[in-house]
Order: sequence, then structure tokens, then C-alpha cells
Amino acid sequence: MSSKEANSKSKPDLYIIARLIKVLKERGRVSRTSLATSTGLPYDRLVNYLSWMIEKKLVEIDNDELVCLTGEGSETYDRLVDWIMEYVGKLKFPRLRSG
Amino acid sequence: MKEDDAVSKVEELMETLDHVKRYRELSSSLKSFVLIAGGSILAFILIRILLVILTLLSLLGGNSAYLISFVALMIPLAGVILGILHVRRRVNSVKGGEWKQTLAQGFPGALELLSGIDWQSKLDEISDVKQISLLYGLAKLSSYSILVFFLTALIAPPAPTNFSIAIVSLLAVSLVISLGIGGKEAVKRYREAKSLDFLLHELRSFYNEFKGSEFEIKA
Repeated sequence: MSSKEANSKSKPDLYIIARLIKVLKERGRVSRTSLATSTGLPYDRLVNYLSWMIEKKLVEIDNDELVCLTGEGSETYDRLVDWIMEYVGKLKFPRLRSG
Repeated sequence: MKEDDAVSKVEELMETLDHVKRYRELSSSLKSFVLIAGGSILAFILIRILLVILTLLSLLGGNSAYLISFVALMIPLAGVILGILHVRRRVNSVKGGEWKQTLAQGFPGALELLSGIDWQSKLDEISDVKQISLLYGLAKLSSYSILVFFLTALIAPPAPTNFSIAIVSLLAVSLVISLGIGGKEAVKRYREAKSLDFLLHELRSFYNEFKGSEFEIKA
């Protein structure tokens, strides 16, 4: 997602949103730098994602300038898991043995 | 836990797609198998014809002719074995599991892998290779039949009287013996072809549903 895309004109990558939420779920309040390191995202890209997520009320910045997950953010993550399971959960794989 | 279930489902999917990569390799090495095994069988036939034309067999006498024919039979035998080993080596050399590091991130990794798959090309690939295992099984079975036919003809040459009946009997015996050797594998390969067909159906339904859906993040 480029800085232009960050202005919520195009869709962000869901797996990056999920990665950010997962880190916040596990670690609670996190600084932007630490979040960038944990998720492996370049800082400027992280800032763009965070702006988008703040706009969607998935995360918020507290008084100590740390990033926190909101209830909406946590719920969105669970809905995302449910959404994926709705599709992959139905998949059945045959036993293959090539060679 | 749903998150773990989603990760293990995606793991299963990625492992299955790794198998598909091996079938693709089997598909391209099948030509080499036919070339190696078929070439060696053809070489044996040419040697036999040459021996007959030069009437070398009658000049050499019973035991020597038998010995030369038997040694010549080692050519197609080696060819078939070499062909099988070649295919096995190529298929086993296919690397898989490059996705494991991404999946180790848990659910976000699973999501990243799902987003990164070029579904249409994967479906085309499965469609292309779904019969390949069966074809390979049949190619192996045919080579066994030809080898057994030559060997049986060498051990018990068909009598000149009722030659056609003798040849048909020889063919039938060869087929029965080769089915005994490779029949189980042929059945296994048939099941694999059916499994790939099932996989194609499953993934096509999944893809059609998945591409039409969209996850909405409420503002």
C-alpha cells in the first residue's frame, strides 16, 4: 500500500492488517517502531496502515503514543478468521503420493 | 481453536500443491522415460533382427546364440530400470515447503499464502497433470509386459507350428505376469488420477466462491 493508497482509496492487504492485529493482541500496547520490527513492515508503510486502521477504528494511539488494539479491531480479526474458515474449512484434500 | 484450524487447513492445501508440483515434474520426465525405456527396447529388437539377418545365431550354435540373446535382453532391462530411476530422481528433486516460514507466522501467514496463490494457473496445472500418473503407470506396465514377453520367448520359444496361437499365448502369459509385477501400482496410479480429479473439483469450487467474496471491514 503506497502513501496514496493509504488515503483509504484502495484496499489494504488483509494479511498485513491481520499481522498487525495479531501482534497487538499478543503484546498489548506497542510503540510504532516496535510494531514495525515485529511485523517486518517498513516504518513508512506501517504508518500508512496505522492511519487507515485508526480511521476504521481498529486501533488507537494512547496518551503515551503507543498503539493499542480496540474492541472493534479484535472483533474484526475474529471475523476474518471466521470468514477464511467459511471457505477453507469446507476443503477436503485427497491423499496424494507422487513419484 | 478456529485460528489453528485455518492454519492447518492452509498447511494441508500447501502440502497438496507441493504434490501437484511433483506431478508436473512427473509429466515432463515421462517423455524421458518413454525415450529411455522405448529406445532400449527398440535397440534390443534391432539387435535381434540383426542377429537373425546375419544368421549369426545359427552360425554361433545353440548355447552361444542363447547367451547373446540373453545378454542383449539386459539392454531393455537396464533401459526400463534407468528410466524409472530417472523419473524418481527428477520427481524427488522437486523442492517444496518454501511456504513453511510464512505459515509459521500463524493465521496472518496463512492469509498471505492464500492471497499469493495464482489460482487460475494452479487449476490449469492440476487439469494438465491429472492423468499423468495413470499414463506413467501404464507406460511402466507396458514396459514390464514387453520385457516379460522377450524373456518368456527366450526361455520357451514359440513353436513354428501354430505360431500365431503360440504368440497370442505368450502375450497373454506376459500380460498376466506383468500385471502380477506392476498391477498393484497401476491401480494405485488410477486412484491418484481420481484423487487429482477430486482435488481439481474441490479447488475449483473453492476458488469460485472465494474470488466472489469480499471481507468487509466496518468503519
